[in-house]
Amino acid sequence: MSAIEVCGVHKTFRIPHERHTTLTERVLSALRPPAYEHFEALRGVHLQIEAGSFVGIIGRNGSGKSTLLKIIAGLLVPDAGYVRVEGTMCELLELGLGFSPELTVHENVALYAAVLGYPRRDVAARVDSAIQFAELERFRDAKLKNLSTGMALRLGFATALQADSDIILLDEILAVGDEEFQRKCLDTFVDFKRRRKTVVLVSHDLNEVRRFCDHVVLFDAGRIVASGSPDETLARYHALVEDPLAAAVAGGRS
Amino acid sequence: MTQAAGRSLGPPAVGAIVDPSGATWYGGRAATSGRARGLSGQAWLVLQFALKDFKIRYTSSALGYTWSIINPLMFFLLYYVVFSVFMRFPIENYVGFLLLGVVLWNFFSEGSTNGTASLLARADILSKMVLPRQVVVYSALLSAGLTFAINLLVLLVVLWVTGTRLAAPALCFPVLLVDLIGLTLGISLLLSPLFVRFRDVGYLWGIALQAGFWVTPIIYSEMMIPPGWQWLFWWNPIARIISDSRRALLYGLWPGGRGLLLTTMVSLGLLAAGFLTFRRLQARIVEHF
Repeated sequence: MSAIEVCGVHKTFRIPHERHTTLTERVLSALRPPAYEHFEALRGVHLQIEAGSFVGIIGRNGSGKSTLLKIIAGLLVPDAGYVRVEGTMCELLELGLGFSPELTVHENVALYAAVLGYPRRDVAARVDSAIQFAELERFRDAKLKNLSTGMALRLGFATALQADSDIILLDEILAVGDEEFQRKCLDTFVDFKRRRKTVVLVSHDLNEVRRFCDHVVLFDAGRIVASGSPDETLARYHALVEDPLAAAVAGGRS
Repeated sequence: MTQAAGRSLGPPAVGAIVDPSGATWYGGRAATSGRARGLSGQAWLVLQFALKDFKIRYTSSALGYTWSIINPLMFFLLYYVVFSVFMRFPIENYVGFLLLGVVLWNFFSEGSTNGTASLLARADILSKMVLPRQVVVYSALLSAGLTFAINLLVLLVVLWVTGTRLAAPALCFPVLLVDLIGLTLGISLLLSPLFVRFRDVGYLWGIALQAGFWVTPIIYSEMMIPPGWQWLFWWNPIARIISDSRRALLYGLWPGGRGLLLTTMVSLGLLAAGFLTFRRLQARIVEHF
């Protein structure tokens, strides 16, 4: 049974043109219908992710990776196609999101836990273990603004982990922390694999992708252009980066 | 099974669909909620957000929560001096009359302003985390409601001290409170998604509230409005809520049944319109942040 099934998903964003430099232009533009640039972020994406697999999504900037992750998470609505998700899901698209500097470590984690929908009966215990995992017990009642950025990131990651979901969506989280944080993330990835969690990882860090992913998907211009073992797909990615023109033709972009 | 079975594009539905096997589907023009979360889970989330708001608002201020009492009291004193000492409105029990009007209006004004701004104010969370989006509107109102509750307590104390005793018609007051909350929530649900797309909505609502403060009999009595202008009072639900609350709490009179029914219908109508608009517009709201 696949944990995530993405079927024929299309997504187009309308980006309004705003080039009114003069007041007259502004007034005139109010009379004209607004002009939009249509940006096709995803053009017919099919993807099956098996339960317990560790899947990496790679591709150049703007190729549709994050859009797909947001659609899987349910933040964006596909224009066509559907997504089917089996199991509980936790999305970690940005670390330390929703934290308030004016609240204490404990209050922040409790709030984040409510957003992530921790099971209510053991909220308190999980909040404690999240703080413990982030190694911030000493600062439990300190306001977040008094902590370093790295500590806040660690706390965000730890809190998301404690949701203990079946499916974990990660977007570029390795890029922000220091070395110690990254080491901790990597340890967690090992743990994910051991516990057969389904992980979808969007990353630019090819070494990490090679090391952890069972399956790698390469995106270009809103389409999946390669999908398979890490070595194969990474080779395609290198080809794409080195010769974008040839790859663009291969990817179907005119 | 879901309607998905025979359709290549999946189930076009409002809300994520959970099929019997426990899977969540979404697609078409579905609004999604992602994580399975019961009604109690939503209520818990609303409470957490509201408490956070309340904590942050008064943190690092010397007087803390007492500001939520001081602020309306200061305005009450100001109006009292102007309209009872300088201008001398001939209104029985003007202290209670004025304070009740100010407290009810403040909740409406603060609640609808916060509620309208709530979606945009939490754009950072809403665009990257999955949670039912109405939660932020409810919590904005709940946070205004906490201040309101404190103010109502102060009001009751003031009424007691000034010698007003509650009589049987005071039993109508909860109905009027429900109307007031329904009205405020309805407007917030209606305007918050519109505010995300058109920032003008915020400015327009600000002007409407300022005009509303003077058009609504808060510092004066509806008896002072000339007959030719009475319709303005009759079609203003917030004015009738304030006026009926005064009858019920201060003067021990039952509010008119027809007026109360009309108020309730307008409140519920706006609430329904708010729910429908919100449900429709929230699905793609992330794209407009």
